Amino acid sequence: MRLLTTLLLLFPFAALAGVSLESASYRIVAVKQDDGSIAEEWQTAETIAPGDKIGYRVTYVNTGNEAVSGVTINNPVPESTVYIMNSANGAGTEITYTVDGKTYGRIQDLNVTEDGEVRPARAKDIEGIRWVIPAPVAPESQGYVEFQVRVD
Amino acid sequence: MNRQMKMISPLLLAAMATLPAAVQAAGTAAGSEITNTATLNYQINGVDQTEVTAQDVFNVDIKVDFALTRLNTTEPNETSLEADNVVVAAVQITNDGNAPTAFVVRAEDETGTTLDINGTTYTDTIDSGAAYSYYLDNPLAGTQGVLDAEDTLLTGSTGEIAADDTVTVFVTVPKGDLTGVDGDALLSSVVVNGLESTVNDTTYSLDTGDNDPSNGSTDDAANPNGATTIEVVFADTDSDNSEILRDALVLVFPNLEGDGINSNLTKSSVVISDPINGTENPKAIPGAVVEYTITLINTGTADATNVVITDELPANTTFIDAEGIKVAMDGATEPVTVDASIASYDSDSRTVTVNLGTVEGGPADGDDETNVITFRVTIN
Repeated sequence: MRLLTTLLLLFPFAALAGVSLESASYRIVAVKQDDGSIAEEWQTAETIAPGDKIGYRVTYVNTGNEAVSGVTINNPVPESTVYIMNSANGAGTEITYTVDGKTYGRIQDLNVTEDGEVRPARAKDIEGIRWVIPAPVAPESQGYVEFQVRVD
Repeated sequence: MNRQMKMISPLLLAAMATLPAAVQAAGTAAGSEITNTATLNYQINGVDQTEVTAQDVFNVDIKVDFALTRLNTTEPNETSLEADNVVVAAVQITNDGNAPTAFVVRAEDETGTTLDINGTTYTDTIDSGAAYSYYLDNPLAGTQGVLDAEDTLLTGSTGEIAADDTVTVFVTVPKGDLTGVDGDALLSSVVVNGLESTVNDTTYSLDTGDNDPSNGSTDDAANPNGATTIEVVFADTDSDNSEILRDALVLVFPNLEGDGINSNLTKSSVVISDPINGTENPKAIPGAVVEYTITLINTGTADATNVVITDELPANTTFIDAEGIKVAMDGATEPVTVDASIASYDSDSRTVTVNLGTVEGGPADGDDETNVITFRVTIN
């Protein structure tokens, strides 16, 4: 009986704990505004051709009833695209990058060896982005991180 | 970290396997899948939970982009109307899009317009008629950049041109349709439209009827504008699936006749000496020596080739063998004795024959080659 109670207690807990994740892509288009200025708009990606800017928004939702911690989102830069410098963002996140898929760091701290010479990493060297969310994510709360790439 | 990498790697590999390896200058090939994979790791009460992944896939659409350049960048096309088919325009089509694309080419006569090529202005002075033919330069056989028997007569489409590839199309008219004189120019405009692109064995029609990309193009009809469908994006100049280029043909003929006022072939004579006065104020009396000078200049734009001058001696004169025939040719100014294969006298026909070969012409006066022939006779 005691065991059953424990199981009953544990089961709902397990069923309700969880985080959902979604990646959505948008075509970033420069649109002339009414005041004459140009602003970038994230539009539904109906057509995407080489040279287009793509915005990715990765949304997480704590669907459980427990706070979750240590949330880390890893996102390799998609094949056939190049990361656009300084485009990664995410409120309340610590963002690091990798040029080898193994070690992560700030872009200014990353180096690449090319033709036997070490040089600072450029946009095309970025293989992946990592967002670390230091604060716990409360139940039913959500957030998103974003980054932009250009299609080769 | 290691655990994450192990989880991500198979996904990455799977995504990479579906993608063409080569990325062209024109961009990622149409139809390629671009997959984003995000992975989230978290803990509850300090315990690692099963990681969560999310994927987002879209297909790269057809980017129609192409550019036209004149094959001859520094000079117009030229003809001396020797060939039956005269190239009035030679256009290179470069497929800057990301899919194999076929094009259609059509030419139109430009009337009264001008075209600058390398600092020279050419003004349209003649018409081409409308009997255009189009030939695709064969990149593998014959001479590239020259219309020859290896090239293919186009009956509509150019056939598919791979992304980043360039082909040359010659626009021709029958030489019988061209009439003009040396220096006349014919300007033509060449309009090129994308016809169709093929992606993953499916052919997508590109609108060519009215150059309006908003109709006629065959997108993926079942699910238009979807992430994983193939759409057509016109990325050429003005986004109208149409490019135009003008080219010039210049008629180039040699001119050995003159302009109707001054003849380009002249003959003069000077009495050198006579038996009475010697060389002092000589008179044309029997026994006098007379020098004939024949001058030929090519004031045309083209070189004259295989030029042969024959001159039958007047009656009652005798060719002076010892003086021979002197010729100034190929840029020389002073006539000198030349080889018998070039200049000879036949005593039977009493004819001087000089084989000048090529007499150069050119666009500038300085290009015009002047040849001088001298020989002497005695008056019987």
